[in-house]
Amino acid sequence: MWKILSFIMLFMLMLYGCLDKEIIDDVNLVMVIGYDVGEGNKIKGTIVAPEYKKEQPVDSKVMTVESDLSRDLISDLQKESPAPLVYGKLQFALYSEDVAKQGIEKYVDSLERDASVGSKVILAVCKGEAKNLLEGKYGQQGTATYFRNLVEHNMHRENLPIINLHTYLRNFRMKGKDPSLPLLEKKNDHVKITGLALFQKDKMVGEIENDQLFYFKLLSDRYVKGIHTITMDDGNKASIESIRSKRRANIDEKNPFHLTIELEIEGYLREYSEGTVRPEILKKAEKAFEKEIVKNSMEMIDMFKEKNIDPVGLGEEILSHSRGLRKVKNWRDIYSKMEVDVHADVKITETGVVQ
Amino acid sequence: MSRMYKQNWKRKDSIEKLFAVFRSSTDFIQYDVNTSHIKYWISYFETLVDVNILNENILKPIHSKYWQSLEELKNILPVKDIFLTIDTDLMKEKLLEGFVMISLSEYGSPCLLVNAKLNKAREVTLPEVEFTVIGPKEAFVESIESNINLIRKRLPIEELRIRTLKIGRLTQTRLAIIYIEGIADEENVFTVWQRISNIQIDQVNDSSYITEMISDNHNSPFPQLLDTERPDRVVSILAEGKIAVIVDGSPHVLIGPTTLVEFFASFEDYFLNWILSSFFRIIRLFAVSFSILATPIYVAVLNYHYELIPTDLLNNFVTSRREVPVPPFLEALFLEGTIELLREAGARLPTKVGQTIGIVGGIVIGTASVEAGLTSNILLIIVALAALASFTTPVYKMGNTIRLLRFPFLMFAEMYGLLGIVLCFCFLATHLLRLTSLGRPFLEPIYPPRITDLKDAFLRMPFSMMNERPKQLRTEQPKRMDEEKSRENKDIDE
Amino acid sequence: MAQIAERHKVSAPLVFYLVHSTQFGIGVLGFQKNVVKYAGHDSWISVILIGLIVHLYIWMIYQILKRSSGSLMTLQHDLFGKWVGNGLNIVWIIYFFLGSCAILIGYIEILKVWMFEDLNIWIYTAIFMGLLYYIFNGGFRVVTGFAFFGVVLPLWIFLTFLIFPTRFADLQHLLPIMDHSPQEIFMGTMQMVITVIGFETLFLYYPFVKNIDKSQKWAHIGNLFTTCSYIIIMIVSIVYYSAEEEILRNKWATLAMWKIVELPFVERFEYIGIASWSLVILPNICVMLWSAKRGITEIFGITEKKVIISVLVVMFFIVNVIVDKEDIQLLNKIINMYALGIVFCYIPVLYLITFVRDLWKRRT
Repeated sequence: MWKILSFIMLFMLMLYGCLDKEIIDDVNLVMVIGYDVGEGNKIKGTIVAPEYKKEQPVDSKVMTVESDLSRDLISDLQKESPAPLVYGKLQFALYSEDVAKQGIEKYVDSLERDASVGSKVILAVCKGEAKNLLEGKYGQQGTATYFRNLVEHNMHRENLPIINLHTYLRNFRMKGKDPSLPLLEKKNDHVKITGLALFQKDKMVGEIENDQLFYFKLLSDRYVKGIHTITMDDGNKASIESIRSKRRANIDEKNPFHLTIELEIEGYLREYSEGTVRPEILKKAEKAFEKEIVKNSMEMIDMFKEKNIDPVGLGEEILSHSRGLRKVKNWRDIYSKMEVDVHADVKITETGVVQ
Repeated sequence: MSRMYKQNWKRKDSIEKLFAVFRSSTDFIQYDVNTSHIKYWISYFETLVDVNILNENILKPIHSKYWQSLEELKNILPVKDIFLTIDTDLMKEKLLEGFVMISLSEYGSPCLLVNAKLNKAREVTLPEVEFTVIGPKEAFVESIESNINLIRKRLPIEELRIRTLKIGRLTQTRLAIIYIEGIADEENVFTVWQRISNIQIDQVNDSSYITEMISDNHNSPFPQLLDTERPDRVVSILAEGKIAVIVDGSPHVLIGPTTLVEFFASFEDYFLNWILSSFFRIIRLFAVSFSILATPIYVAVLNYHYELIPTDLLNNFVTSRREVPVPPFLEALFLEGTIELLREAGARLPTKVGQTIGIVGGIVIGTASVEAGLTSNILLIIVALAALASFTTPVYKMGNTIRLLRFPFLMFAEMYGLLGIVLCFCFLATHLLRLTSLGRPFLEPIYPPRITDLKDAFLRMPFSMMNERPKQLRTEQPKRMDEEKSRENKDIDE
Repeated sequence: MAQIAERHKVSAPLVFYLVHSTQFGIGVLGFQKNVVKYAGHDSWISVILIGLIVHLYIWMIYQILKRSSGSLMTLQHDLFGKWVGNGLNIVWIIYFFLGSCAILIGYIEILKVWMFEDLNIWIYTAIFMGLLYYIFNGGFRVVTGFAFFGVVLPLWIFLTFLIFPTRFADLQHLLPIMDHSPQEIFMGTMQMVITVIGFETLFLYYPFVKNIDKSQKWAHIGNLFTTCSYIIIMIVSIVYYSAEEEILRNKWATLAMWKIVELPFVERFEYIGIASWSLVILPNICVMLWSAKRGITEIFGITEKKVIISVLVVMFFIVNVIVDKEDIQLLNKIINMYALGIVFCYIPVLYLITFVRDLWKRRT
């Protein structure tokens, strides 16, 4: 008897304790969020949510609103949306260059605190207005997927370093590194990656062009996979694809701030403007590539030191090598004492199907 | 227990009473015959007696041979069971079994009871439920003698013990408990014997009645005794040290003590190569988990956890759900209900009609409900696959349990999403942990973990590796065969 | 003391599951923050230290129990007399009880923050109590069975820790090794106390284990497994996050690591992880609460069913009342102090007393 009663009571309790549902077709999934500078001190926020239609390309709905605080944006946007906006499927966050120069910490903070936002959200900076960029119609799968695929395949197979919310936060908080984000730009009716935006803590202070990305990725992610073209002494051009690459940093025992970076690249020759490749040509190409690597890397590092930023993590190398350094408070002062030498070693192992 | 000490007049009364009761049935034949040498009375139930035996083996010698007393007759008749008795209870029992009663006067006693039973049983045929493609295809029938014959001829050893009981006040059904002495644990045998003897019921029509009466927990949806209709399976488990119970009138034999993993083991696994059968067992396991969890996970994810769906699949989910006006839970209930209806209806209809309805019902109703917008096609596929998967269990009773288990999971998923599914799983696990089969833990090779027993649980290891009898049975002879010799591979030249 | 019926006893190797499941519970999800505050990127050394310390304590527990008859309750009764002994027994019972409450409260907090913000705590706790009642009615065997499931079933989640965060790992974060002073590392070890306790429930279920001598090695293996798990998780956390700053901000560092997991058919793994984690904490709560219940039965001799119901009802109310941030912190602080006192200070004392008593008995 008691058993039956307790079952019934449990059952009724269960019916009472229902939770709020977020049934998938009743909610608006926000997939991209973009921030611009508004009038005065206001923030202009743009969100993109997909609209799924049967057997048709995915449509995207764009909404823009201006307000004071980042979170206010969201509640203001809710008032304009027929279905509740949810952020669980956020894929991409875009900041305009102006916003980036002012500092993006307060925006990223709200993303970090929200438990429903994943760590694989991609952050990026765009030239011009974010709203402008997001309002276009791109691709068959909707704006969010377009952006995401664009950046992701460049990260995994080309020269863009791997960046997402997690790496941004980690580099932001770490002593020995500074964050960097991809830089996008609208070109006619599609979007182009124009380089990398360099940050000092959370403010954007500089950028790198596309042709420098190869060296940047080699230094920062410690491996690179893309193709790079070099010009040799006799004017011929060779295009080399990196298959395997490594970066090692050696610290001088006597001077803990003296870094020697050794880069190793094993690559295939993809294109040569002259025709047949003889072994001496290979050697010359290797040497030319090494020289270019050293020259470009040193230039880049000098630029970093000048701007007092460290996007590639050389500081981390120094910190991890000597005792007691991690506890130092003013890391940036020490940063300027850093001396760097770069050595490169290139091996071209294959030249493709023909000689 | 004879009543020989009782007085004559009392005996006469009892026999008179007996005949008075019997004579009210028109199939009770009683008449007297005057042969050349003696006069005798014969009584029997026409519908229970085999006429050929009566004519050839009983009446013929009675008329042809010379006899004066019942004792002499007993030595003459070429029939196997003859009782000479004054016990009226025995007379009643044997007359109702199909014996022929011969006496020298109408109500005279002692009487001679001669066996003339009519054995009209089904012939031994193919197993219906546990059909295997390869391997023996004999199945049990309703007659207990045939069944015991099928077992005894496969185990021609002296240690095979059979003990019989009669259960059921009205049906007086005969039961046989079979085990191999020296291998089976005496405690198990005693438990079975005690429980069966304590049964109080008026009718026993099938072995399932016995199952319910002697189960450890008859409130549990899980069957605690395995039932089978294959004699080779019974022989196999007897050799392991378990106990079989045969019920007269039922082609299903009960086996105990049993564990959860046995319900997912088809006997065909032993006829195939061990790698193949291990693979099939693992598939069965996945099928069962899929069957229980698929619909609840669908409901949970769509209700609360949209973040789990990969972005590329979102399109399909959203467009298919958009047409449906009801929440996912009701959608799922509707589809599950339809499948149950189809199954029940298909079970009642005669075969030819049943198959058509099944196919038509499935396809038509399914497609039509998607078109009408009552369900989404993703859910339809999931429910159909889950229903299919629930029938992969080789034991019919377990298949029904799996079908039932889905509903509590569905309810918990509706309430608490994935957390609810885990909670429900905890309840299920606790229930299984508490369940015992004849006193032995139901989850045996899984918990308490016995590595040696796992060789025949989720995988089927080769016979040479299965050297020990299952530990849970605490048998008296733990080793089956000589381990080293079984692993030797003798070459032709040796 | 009455002998335990054979049908309630469990065999020796199961002690491995009992010890490991009580240690590996809710603390795993967020223990990094407190340790890293003191020991920085050398926190994994603190973890090794605490593991070794616990091994020593387990050995001491076995020595104490071998010299007594029955469980801790009878021992304290014998040693200190009726009043003081029972007083100490009640202290232990309250300790186990509060411990299990804290675990459940911690888990509900995670549920509220990560999964269901509007979770109705009363109803969820009521269902949970129903489940606990069902488990306890089955006896110690069912509790151990759950410990077994709670260890074996979530093992696959471990793989996700090892595979996915290591893609973003930077081993340099661990260097230089031993950059912190031994005091700092020791302070980190002290913070680990609350995450490794649970092995002292051995005191209460000692009479329920068959072949108790053989079980000692299993208890040590259980602790070893726990320590290894913690070390791996700590190292993965340090190389994945940037050692100091980010871990310090993250209240549940291990949970946040799940955000990076991406399987082909599932995107956000943390929901599956949190839901499965209830399988990990359930045996933890069960064993501790069972120990509290067992203690009450042994001291006061009330029937098991009444004790179960009253314990569950009290726990229901406590869990529902303590839901604010500050109360939870206070509870955790209390338990930390309790654990330090009762487990780490009192057990050696008990060991010495029984040692001396044993010597004295042998002389006379």
